[in-house]
Amino acid sequence: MTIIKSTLNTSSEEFRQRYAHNKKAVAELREMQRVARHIRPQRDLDRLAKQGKMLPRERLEKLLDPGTPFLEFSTLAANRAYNGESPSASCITGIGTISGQEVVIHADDASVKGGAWYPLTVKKIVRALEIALENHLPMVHLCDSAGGQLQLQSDLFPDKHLAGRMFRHQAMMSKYGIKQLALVFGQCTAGGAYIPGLCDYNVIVRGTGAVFLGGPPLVKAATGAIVTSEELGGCDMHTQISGTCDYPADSEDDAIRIGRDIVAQWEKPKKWSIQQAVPEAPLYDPDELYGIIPDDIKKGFEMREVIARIVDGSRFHEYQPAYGTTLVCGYANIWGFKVGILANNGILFNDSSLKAAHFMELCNQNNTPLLFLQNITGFMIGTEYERAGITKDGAKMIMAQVGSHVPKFTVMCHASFGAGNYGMCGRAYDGRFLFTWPNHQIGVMGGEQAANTLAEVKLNQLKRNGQEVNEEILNEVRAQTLKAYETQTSAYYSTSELWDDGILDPVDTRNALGMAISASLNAPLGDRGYGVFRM
Amino acid sequence: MLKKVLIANRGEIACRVIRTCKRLGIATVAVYHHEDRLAPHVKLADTAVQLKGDVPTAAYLDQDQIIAICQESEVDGIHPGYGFLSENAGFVQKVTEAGIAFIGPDAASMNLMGDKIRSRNFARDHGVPVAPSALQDGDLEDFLKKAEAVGFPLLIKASAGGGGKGMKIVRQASELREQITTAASEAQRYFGDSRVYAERLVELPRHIEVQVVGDGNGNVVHLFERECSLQRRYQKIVEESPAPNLPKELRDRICAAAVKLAQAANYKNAGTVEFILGADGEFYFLEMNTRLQVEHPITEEVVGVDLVEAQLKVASGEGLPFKQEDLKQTGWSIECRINAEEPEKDFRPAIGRIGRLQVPTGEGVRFDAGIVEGQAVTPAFDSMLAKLITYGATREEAAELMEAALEDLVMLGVPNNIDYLARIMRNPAFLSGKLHTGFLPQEADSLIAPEPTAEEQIVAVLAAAFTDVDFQRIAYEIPEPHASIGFWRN
Amino acid sequence: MSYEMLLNEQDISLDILARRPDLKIKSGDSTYTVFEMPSDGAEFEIEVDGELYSGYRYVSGDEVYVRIGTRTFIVGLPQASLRAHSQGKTGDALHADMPGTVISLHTEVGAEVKAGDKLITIESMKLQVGLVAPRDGVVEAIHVPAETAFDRGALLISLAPLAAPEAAPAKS
Repeated sequence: MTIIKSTLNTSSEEFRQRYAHNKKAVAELREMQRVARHIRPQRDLDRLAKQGKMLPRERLEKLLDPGTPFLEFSTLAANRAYNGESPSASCITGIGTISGQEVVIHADDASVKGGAWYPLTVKKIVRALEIALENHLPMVHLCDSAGGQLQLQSDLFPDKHLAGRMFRHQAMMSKYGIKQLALVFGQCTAGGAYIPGLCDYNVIVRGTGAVFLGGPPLVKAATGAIVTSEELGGCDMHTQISGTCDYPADSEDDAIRIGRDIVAQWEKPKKWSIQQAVPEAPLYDPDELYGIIPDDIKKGFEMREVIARIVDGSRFHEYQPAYGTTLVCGYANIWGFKVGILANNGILFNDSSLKAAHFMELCNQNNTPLLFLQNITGFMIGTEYERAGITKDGAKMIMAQVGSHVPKFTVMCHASFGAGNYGMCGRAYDGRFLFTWPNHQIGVMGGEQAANTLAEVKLNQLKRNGQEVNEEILNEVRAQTLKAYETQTSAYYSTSELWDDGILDPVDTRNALGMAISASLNAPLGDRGYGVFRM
Repeated sequence: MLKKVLIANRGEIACRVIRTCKRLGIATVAVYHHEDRLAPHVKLADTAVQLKGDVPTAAYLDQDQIIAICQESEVDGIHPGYGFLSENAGFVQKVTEAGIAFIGPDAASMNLMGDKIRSRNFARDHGVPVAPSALQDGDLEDFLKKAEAVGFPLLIKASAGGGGKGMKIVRQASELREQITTAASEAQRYFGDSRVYAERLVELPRHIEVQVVGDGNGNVVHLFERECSLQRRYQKIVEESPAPNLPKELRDRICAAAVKLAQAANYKNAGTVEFILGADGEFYFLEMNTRLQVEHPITEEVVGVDLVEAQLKVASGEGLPFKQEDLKQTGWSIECRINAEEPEKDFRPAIGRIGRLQVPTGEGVRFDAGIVEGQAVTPAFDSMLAKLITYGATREEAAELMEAALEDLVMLGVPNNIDYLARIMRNPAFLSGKLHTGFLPQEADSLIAPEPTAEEQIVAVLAAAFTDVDFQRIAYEIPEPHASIGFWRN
Repeated sequence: MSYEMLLNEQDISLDILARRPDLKIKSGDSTYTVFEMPSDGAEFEIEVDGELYSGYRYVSGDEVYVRIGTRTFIVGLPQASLRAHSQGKTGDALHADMPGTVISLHTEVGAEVKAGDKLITIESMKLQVGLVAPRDGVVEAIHVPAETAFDRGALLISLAPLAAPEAAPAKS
C-alpha cells in the first residue's frame, strides 16, 4: 500500500471557504444533537427526580465501561416529525462495551412523555434490534416506557416492520444464541412488557420498576379492581412469585451493577478473522475534511483526499487506477481492519460500473468488508450509454453488491441521487451500517432537475390542453418542487426518518467505522457464491 | 519438677507457657474450643483436647470439664494463664482438691486479693499506703457523708469491678449523689454487685506495678516495676520497664511496699502489686493481680529471667529460683499490645481473618502471639492478638526498635492498632517519658491517623482495584478498537 | 461507569481515560499513568507515573487491606461502596420461603447485625436452614419466637437502618 499523495492546498480560498462553511454546518449539527439529548421540560426532569430516577444518559454512562467509546445511532431521529415533540425519537440506541463485551444498547427516555413510543421510536428500536441480530451483538435494554402512543397506534402497531417486529427480532436473537438483558427501571406496560419478557436475563428495580400487560388504570377499567403498580407487577412480585423477572435490585445503581455482572458472565464472541494490521492514525489531519467537502451539492471533490483522512496511515492500495476512473476502488485499513473501498469520483459510467462489480467480487473472494463512500449523482444517461448497456452494467454492480457475503458499510459523503444510490449500497441494500454527513442530500434526482422535469411535464400538459403557457405557473411548479426537495433531500430529513444510522461529524467517521467493522465481525460470513467474473 | 502441665487458656499466653514447658522438658496439654481448632496453641502442645460447649468463652471457664480433662490426661500441674480461670479461688480449690498443682497462688491469697475492699484494708493494715477513701457499707446517706469527707476530686468505683467499668469521676459535691447512683446501677449490671466505694482521685496518675514472686512461706522477691500508664478505655496497651522518670529512691520504696504486702499475705507464686503514683510522688496501693500479667515479658527482658519457669518451679515446690540480690534491672523494654480494634472508632473491637501475617524479627525484638496467618478473629474472645516486645540498652533504643518493628509488622485482614502504636512511638510527649493514665486521651489529636497523602491514596486504591476481576476486566479486557479509541461520543 | 471505591469511608472514584499505550487513570482532579507489575502472592508492585510502589495486600470480601510503607489502609471495592450507600434503604424484612418452625434465634431485638450474619435457624421438611441478614442494620423486631411454627411468607425478623455513624470518635 502506498501513502496517498494529497494535493490539497490548505491555504487556498476554496479550502478556507469550504472549511468555514462546514465548520458552521457541524456546529449546527452539534447544537441540534445537544438539544435532542439534553433539553427537556423542567417539569419532566422534576418528575423523574421525584421518582428517584436517573436520566437515561446517566444510566448509560454508568453502564458502559469507563473510558470506552459509545457509537450512538440516529440522535436526530424524529427531528422533523411530531412538531419536534420526540427528541431522538424518545430513545437512545448505540454500540458500546459493557464488562468488555460489545453490545447494542437501547434505552427508553422517560423524560419525553413518559418514554411513550412514537412510530419513529419503534422504527429506531427495531433498527437497533436489527443491528444486533445482523451483527450477532448481545443487546441490553434499559426499559422505562409507558408504551405506545395510543393516538398514533395505526402508524406503530400493525405492519410488518412496526412494534411486533421488536419482539420478533428478540425471539430470533435468542434463537441464534444472541443474548439479551433488560434492566427494568420504570414501567413496561402492554407490548413493552414483552421486552423484559423476551430477554434471556432481566433485572428489575424495587419501587420504580414494573412489568405488566395492563397497568393499574386498565385493570380498574376492565375489572374494577384497585391495585398498586408494585402489587400488580413490581420487583418482589415478579422476582419472587411470577418468575417473570430474574434479579431484584435495590436501586438503579444496584441494577446497573447486577447488569454489568450478568454481561460479564457471557461467553466472548468468536469473531471471524479479518485481515488486520496495527492501527495507525491517518497521516493527514482529518480536520482538513472540512476544507474538502464542498459548500454546494453540485460541486464535486477528490474522493482520494477523503480516503486519505479516514484510513490508517493514509495508505491505500488502489485497484485499476487507470480504468473506470470515476469510481475509486482499493484496499485500506481502518483501525487496523482491512476494507475494500468504493468511492465515487464522478458519475457512474459503463466502465466504472464494471470496475465496481469486479472489485466487489475480489473483496468477497478475499473476505474483505466493503466500504462505500457515496457522492453519486447517478448513472450516465444518453443514447451512447444506453447503447453500451449502461442499464445492464448497473445491474451487474447491484447484483455483485447484493450478492456479497462480506459486511457492507456506507457513508453518505455528499450527493446520493438516483440509481447510483442502489449500486453504492443505499439504505435498501442491507449494509450493516449507514452514516451520513451533514452536507448530504438524497433523492431520486436533484431538486433542480426535478423542478425542471416537473415544469417540463406541466408545460406539455398545458400545451396538450391548449392552455396558454404561463411562465408564472411554471415558476410556481418549479418553486414548489424545489422547496419540497430542499426539505426532503436534506440529511436532517433523512436521519429524521431513520434512512440512516445517524449523521456524523466527518472527523468522527474513522471511529464510527472502526466500531462498526468491529461489530460486524461477530456475525459469521454468509455463503460465497460464484468466483470472480472478469467484467 | 512437674511432668505434665495442662494450660487452661488460649491465645498468646497458652503458647507462651507451652514454650517454657517444652524448654524444661515438661509435657503439655492444650484445651480448645471448636472455634480455636486451628489456633496455634492447639498445634504447639503435645496433646490437645477439645472442650465441649457452644459458647467459646464458657468452654474455657468450664471448671469441671477442665479438671476432668486434667485427670484423664494425668497432668500434675495446671497453668491458668491470665483471664478465664486464673483468679478464680473456687477453681484453685477444686484443682488442689483433685491433687493437681495449681501454677499460681493458693485460694486464700486469691480470695484476699480478689476483693478490692478486702485487699485495700489488708494493705492499709500492713502499712502499705492506700488512697483516702470511703466504703459503702451502710445506707446511701451515710456513704455520701463519708465520701464527701474524703475530699474532691473523687473517683467512684465498683467494689467487685475492674477494667474501668462503672467508674465515675466526681469533682463537686453537687454531682455526688447522682454519680454514685449511676455507678451503683452500672456495677449491678456488670458485676451483679451494686456496692461501690469512693477514693481520692489522683490527678495525672501513673500506673506503676511491681512484679513479685513468693514461695508461700513468707519469702518474696520483687522483679522491679513496670510502667503501665498508657491506657485506652482504661486498658493498658503500652507498657515498659523500668518506669521512666522515676527516682531510684521512689522506685525502691514502691518495690519494698509491694514485697511487704506479698510477704504479709504469705504470697505464693507470681503476682503483681499495682500502685497509683501521683505527680507529687505519693503512691497508693491499687490492687494485686494474683496471676501472671499480660505485660510480664518486659520484666523478663530487663531482669533476664523466665517468669513462667519461676512459676513452674514454685508450683513444683522447689522454692524461689532466685534471690533478691541476684536480680538486676538492665536496659529497657517496651511492650505493645496488638489488638484487633479500630483506634479511629473509639477503639471498637474488630473482627476479620488474618490473611497476611509477617512478623518482625531480629535482635531485641520479641513477638508473643497466639495467631497464625489464616486465622479468624471472632467476637468470641478478647481482642488482643499478640504482643510485640523490644529490648534496648536505653529507652530511646527500645522505642526506636519498637517503632521499626511495628512498621515491619504486617497484619492484614482485620483492623488493628499497629499504626496507632507506631504513632505513639513517634509521639514527642511519649519520647520525653512524661506519662500518666490520661496520656492517650490527652494526646488523642496528635495520635489520629494523618489523612492519606495523594500518593498513598492512589496507590492504595489502585492496589485494591487491581485485585478485583471487574477492574481487571475494564482495564485490560476491552476489545479493539474500543480500547484504543477510548472515551468518545459521536 | 466510574469505578467507585471507599477509603477511610470517603468515596473515591477511578475513571479510565486511556488504555493505549498505557493505562491512564483519573481520580479526583489528577491523572495517573499506571502499570501493575506482575507479582505472585500478596506482595504487589504498581508503577504510578514512573514511580514504583510495593507493599502487601489482602482481600477480605469486598474490602482490601493494603499496606504501603508503614501504613495500612482498608479500601472498599465497589460492592462495599454500594453497600455503604444503599444501607438501610431496602431489604428490611426476613420472610419465610416455606412453612416451618423456628429452631433457634441467633440475635436479639436491638442488636446490630451485618449483612450475612445468621439471624435465625428454621426447620422445614426435616431440613434446618439458617437465614442471614440481607443488609447491615439493627434488629427491629423478632416476629416468631423460637419453637414456633409459621406459614410460608411469614415475617420472621424485621430490620431497621443503622444509626448514622458518629461524626467523630468521642474522646475519652
